[in-house]
Amino acid sequence: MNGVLSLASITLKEGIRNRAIFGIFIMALLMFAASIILTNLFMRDIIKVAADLSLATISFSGLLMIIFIGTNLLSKDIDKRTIYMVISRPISRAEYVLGKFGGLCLLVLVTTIFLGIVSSVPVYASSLIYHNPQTIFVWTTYITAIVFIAMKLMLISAVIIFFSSITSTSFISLILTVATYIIGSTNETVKGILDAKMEGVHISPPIAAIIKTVYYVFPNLSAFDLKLQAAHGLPIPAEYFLWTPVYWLLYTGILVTMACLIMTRKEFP
Amino acid sequence: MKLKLYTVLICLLALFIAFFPYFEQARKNVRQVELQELTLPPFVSRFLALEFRSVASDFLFTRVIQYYGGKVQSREMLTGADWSWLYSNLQVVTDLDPYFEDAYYFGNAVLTWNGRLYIQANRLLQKGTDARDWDWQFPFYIGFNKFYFLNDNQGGADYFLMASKRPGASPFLPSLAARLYKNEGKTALAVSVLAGILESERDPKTRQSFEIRLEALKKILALEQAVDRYKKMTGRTPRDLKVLVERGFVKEIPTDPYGGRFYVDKNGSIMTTSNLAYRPGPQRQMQK
Repeated sequence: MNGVLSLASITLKEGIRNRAIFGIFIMALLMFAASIILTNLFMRDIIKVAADLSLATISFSGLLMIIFIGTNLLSKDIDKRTIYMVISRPISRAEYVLGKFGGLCLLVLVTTIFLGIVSSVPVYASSLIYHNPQTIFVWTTYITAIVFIAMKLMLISAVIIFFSSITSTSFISLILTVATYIIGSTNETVKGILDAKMEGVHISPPIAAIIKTVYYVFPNLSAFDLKLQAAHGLPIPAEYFLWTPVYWLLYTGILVTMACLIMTRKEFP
Repeated sequence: MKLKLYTVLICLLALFIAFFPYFEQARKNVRQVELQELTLPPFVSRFLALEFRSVASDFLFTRVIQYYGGKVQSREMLTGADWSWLYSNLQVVTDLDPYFEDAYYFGNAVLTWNGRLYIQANRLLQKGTDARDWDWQFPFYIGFNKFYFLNDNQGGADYFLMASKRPGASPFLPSLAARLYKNEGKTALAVSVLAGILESERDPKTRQSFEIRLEALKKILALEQAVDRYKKMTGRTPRDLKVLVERGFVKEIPTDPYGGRFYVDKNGSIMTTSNLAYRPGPQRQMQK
């Protein structure tokens, strides 16, 4: 267990030391600054626009960070043969995978906390500029949305770990992760169309079967998207806080376990 | 070597600055066409927006106001195609984020007063009424459009009642609904509705536009009452508003704050040449 923790902290440090992270942070800070200017274009729902932009920035920059840094971390170890340094120590390969995943999760945690704090500045500022009696904004919902973004990024980290254990080329795992992200963000919408059974739209049974399979196999990332709820202060039912984390925990667990299994069987060059 | 590189750089920069306006103009012409034609179906835009649906609605909305503002600024009249573009894009904006207040607010303002698309405006507002079930303004706007533009007093009263049951609604709504059910005169009602809106409006620009409208409606109301008195006295409708001044029913013919001229039509209703809207051109000058 000690091995996992020290590996996780090494991975976190490696991630923070990565130059890409600075670029991503600068981009995020610029977006937050821009959102203060952009909100001036709107008439009444100013705080909604500020919350939209802030949450989208957290999600987008977190995504960039995790995809570019995450895909590099594992494959670089294999590619540059630094993995021998680790697996020659008394640490199992499963522990190695867990350590890497833990490090990525810590990286997600640190960055979302940082971006979350910075992002609340434009949101707070916009609430001072104009008070609209018909706008509801709840800070707890906003924070919940940030927590769910962090959960989503951790799930994507698990996807990256899984693909990196299959292929040792970082570019291929990057492409596969991006594809999973796109499918994961849209599969609920597509299945919704299938379930709606619109008149005059015929979907052939094989395609319907594919859509259903994709819906169950790929992660449903829309579940972690509470941006709309946060922007308008909409209530979220209590059971959502039980079943979505359960779904998240199980899905992430399955992916990481599969990655551990693949790694134990893998032969390094 | 270094000097040569600097010379090349300066030449390139000068050329860049010189040619930029041509590029910008070319781009503008392309963008006009693009803006005209591009309306993504709701499903496609939902799909493409991934998890950034709500931000996508914000950006699409800025495009809509930009398009409308551009037309107003260049003093172009909006054609039927322009209006249908505006309406369908506002539909997409509110499909991406059905709770977006600004989109409904702007849509209602321009589609009714300027575009005369009352049914479409109400269709848009209905979506907002359903989504923002805590907000009294949208059923109130639908009610207003129904009674003022569509001459549907019953429908208007129904929506006013609906609005009055939502939190924060203006206290004058129930009595307004009652008066509507009784089929009271349109202008008098409009004056009290607008006065009610003004009470809750904080944005100075919107307030100004409502104040001007209220002023115009009050003047029309005074003229209408004078015409009614004239009718009672003489049994005829006046052919010209000057008659009212000559006979002492009003002191003078008031001026239309929108720059038009009040007149009385065959049925004895007070009309104005401005139709209670600024012409796209002089609007900016008048607001100054």
